Amino acid sequence: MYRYDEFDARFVRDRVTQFRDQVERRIGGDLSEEEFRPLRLMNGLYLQLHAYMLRVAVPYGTMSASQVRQLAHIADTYDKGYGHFTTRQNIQFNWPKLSDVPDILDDLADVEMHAIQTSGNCIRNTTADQWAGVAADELEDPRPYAELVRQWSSLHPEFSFLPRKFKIAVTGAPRDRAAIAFHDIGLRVKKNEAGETGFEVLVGGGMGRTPIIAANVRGWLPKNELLSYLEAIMRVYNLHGRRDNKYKARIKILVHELGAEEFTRQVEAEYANIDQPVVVPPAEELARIADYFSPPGYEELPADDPVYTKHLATDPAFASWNETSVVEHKVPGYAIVNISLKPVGGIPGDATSEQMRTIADLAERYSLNEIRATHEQNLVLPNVRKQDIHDVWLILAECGLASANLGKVTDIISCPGLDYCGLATARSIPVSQAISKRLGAPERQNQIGDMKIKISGCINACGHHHAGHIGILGLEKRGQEFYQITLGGSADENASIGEIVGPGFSGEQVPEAVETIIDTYIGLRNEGETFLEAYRRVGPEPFKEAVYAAH
Amino acid sequence: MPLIKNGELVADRWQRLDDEAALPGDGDVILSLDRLKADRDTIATRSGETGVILPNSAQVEEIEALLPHLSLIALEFPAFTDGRAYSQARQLRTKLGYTGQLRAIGVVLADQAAFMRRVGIDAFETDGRQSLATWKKALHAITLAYQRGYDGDAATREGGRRDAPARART
Amino acid sequence: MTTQRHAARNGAAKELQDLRTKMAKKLSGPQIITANRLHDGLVVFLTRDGAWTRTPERAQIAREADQVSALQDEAAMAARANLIVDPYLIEVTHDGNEPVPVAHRERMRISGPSVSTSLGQPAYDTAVAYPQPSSSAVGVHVQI
Repeated sequence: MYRYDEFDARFVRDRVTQFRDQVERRIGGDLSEEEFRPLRLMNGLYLQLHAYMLRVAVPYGTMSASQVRQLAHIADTYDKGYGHFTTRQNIQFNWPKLSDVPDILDDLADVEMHAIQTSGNCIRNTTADQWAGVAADELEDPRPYAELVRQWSSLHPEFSFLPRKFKIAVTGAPRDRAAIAFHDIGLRVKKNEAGETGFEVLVGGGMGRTPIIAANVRGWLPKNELLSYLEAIMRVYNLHGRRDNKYKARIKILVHELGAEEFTRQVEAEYANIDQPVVVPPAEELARIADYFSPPGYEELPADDPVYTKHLATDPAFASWNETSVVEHKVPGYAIVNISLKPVGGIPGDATSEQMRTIADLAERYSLNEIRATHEQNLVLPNVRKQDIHDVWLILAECGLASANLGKVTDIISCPGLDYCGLATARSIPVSQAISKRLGAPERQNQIGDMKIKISGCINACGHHHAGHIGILGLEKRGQEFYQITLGGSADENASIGEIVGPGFSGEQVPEAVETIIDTYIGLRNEGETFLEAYRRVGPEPFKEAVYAAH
Repeated sequence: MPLIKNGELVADRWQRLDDEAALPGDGDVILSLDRLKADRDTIATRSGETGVILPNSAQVEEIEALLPHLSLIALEFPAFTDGRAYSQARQLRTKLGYTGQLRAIGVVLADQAAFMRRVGIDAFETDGRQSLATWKKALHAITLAYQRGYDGDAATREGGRRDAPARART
Repeated sequence: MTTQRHAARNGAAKELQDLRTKMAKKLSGPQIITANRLHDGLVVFLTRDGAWTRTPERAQIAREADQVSALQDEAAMAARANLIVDPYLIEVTHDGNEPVPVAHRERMRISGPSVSTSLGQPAYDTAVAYPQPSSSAVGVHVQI
């Protein structure tokens, strides 16, 4: 993984020094809240319903053991002993004091982390496929490009006061695990006939109150033109994105209003004016970055391991967990181990400092020192030898990290909702807990199969409910929480936006409604058909009928 | 309004000209964009210098043909959250090769000074609330930068500024 | 007076006005003012003594327009003095001693995160309830 050189280290320290000065000036009264607010947002510090919230950047979801240990230290020292992993691969702390934040940022800088640009109308964390570099189906590791974009977008002088936030995602595999179609810019690494590397460029996807699937703006972009092309897109957006209405300010609205064709034309016109030799980094720079992502010293192992195979055959609990959580690695003898942060009835995406330390130890000992965060709020140990998987599982099980539910009905994505978030209209966590408990029995989960439930506590859709197989949107009516259910959304390479099933439900009614929908699916599915497949085959009618039958 | 240029408080020799007022033959005046377009033939023959306030919703191409006659372009920051003028500045310097004064007007805070410098803005009309000391510090707040080809004195990883364009001091 | 101090004075007056405009909502009925403490972000309420308390029961309730106005002024001054940020008015019903917000969101603000309780029964009657990290995050994992 990428390691800071002196330049990167100084860059981050300078930001900490600058922010420390800004905090002092704020507390001392030299800066008003109005002046300070954009400055604190640029360092990821929000004011939420109950306290400040600090969002720490986890670049394309990759962390080392010492970084996770430091996050645990921060949770214990400055917060209440836990952190929350988000739908953009970042981590959030819910209770920091403003006066402590400069120290927290210094602690983060000690381990090559920061909270720069995790908020505000600027380019946010560039996310990537959580199995980048190790997935068996991957064409090329997208992370060097994600790192290049991360650096380029950090404190960009021209693009720090955009109409609205800006999110970029990259994938290097044909299966899209990074939800690129729902990002402001989505990049898919591909190769042309000559075997050269380049990108497919998607622009204008997003969630929120107007979910839109991104348009294909460039079918092929040579890899060395990446940053200058991004500059062209950002400039068109910065100049022409709407600033009159916060809810129409994302680039998706601009692309929609201009039409993809006209938008592309403007981008290409701007692109033609960019002086490439001046703005693109030297070829050695991409090579230098890519070097950090070269294979981390894998052993030469046989594809199968007898110890592992034996445990699978003799330990049903292990086998069950393995079935959901362990995924094929590109290197023989290794596997990708996924860690569910969705214990049945628990808070989706939360991890205690103790759990973080356990995961850090596991990464150091068993995963070549690497951990990943996923946009589905889970974690990954990407480099586990098959012979070690059983040992890893035992340790995970001891601290509640071995739920065998990855990709299943209780692997729910949920924003923090009104329990924490100042923007929310309704609570989301209790809804996820109730659904999880209701459908949490192992046989039930296996019966249901692949199921992505995604819950947002307000129309901003941070829970990505539009892309849920079953999506749940929390709203408010006459002082009461009520929830709208959508069906058939998907964030993968066959992206789709969920359709509203009908009138909303009270919080108490939601779990039953969800169960009715699921039972309807089970009743009409073909052999081996997933919920999403069945929904796409039969449409919403059977589900509407079933859910509203009693009313 | 206190004007900061080259890191110092300087006297402002420029005057904003009302749209209704007559255009003087001498003196350094800043016109509105409408006025500039209306008087495009006259400004070439003035002995004084001419500047324009470019609305941040305008395309820089609108004044492209008049650039040879402009020594000052004032770029608007109606709120510090409105970042359109950063791109206008960038286009004026790089695409159109403008070398005259680029002045930030409107809501202009020291904490944005370094960004503004990097896109080629070299003068700042401030409201006087932030001290000169704050401004001096803020102008150099960014010493290291990842983006290549921008102005200012931030060093990139390669160690220097690449291809810093020559800039006439006006 | 220096240009700077003069501008600072004008700036202060404008800021107060901005804050008051922000706080002015179309609310009827009894109201209290809430804000977040600047240095630690925790939720506080304005008392009759002009202090800021963590305990909602001690919040000053304004019933008449001029009382509301006085609260707003007090809050604007406290913001200007860098004690609190983001003050705003909350409409309440006066239930015995304790002001109970009308809006669901504001009831959540007073009660704190509800996540250890079951759905449909938010902890409105619990004082600011901090989550119990070890039990709520670990939870019950699937038993095979």
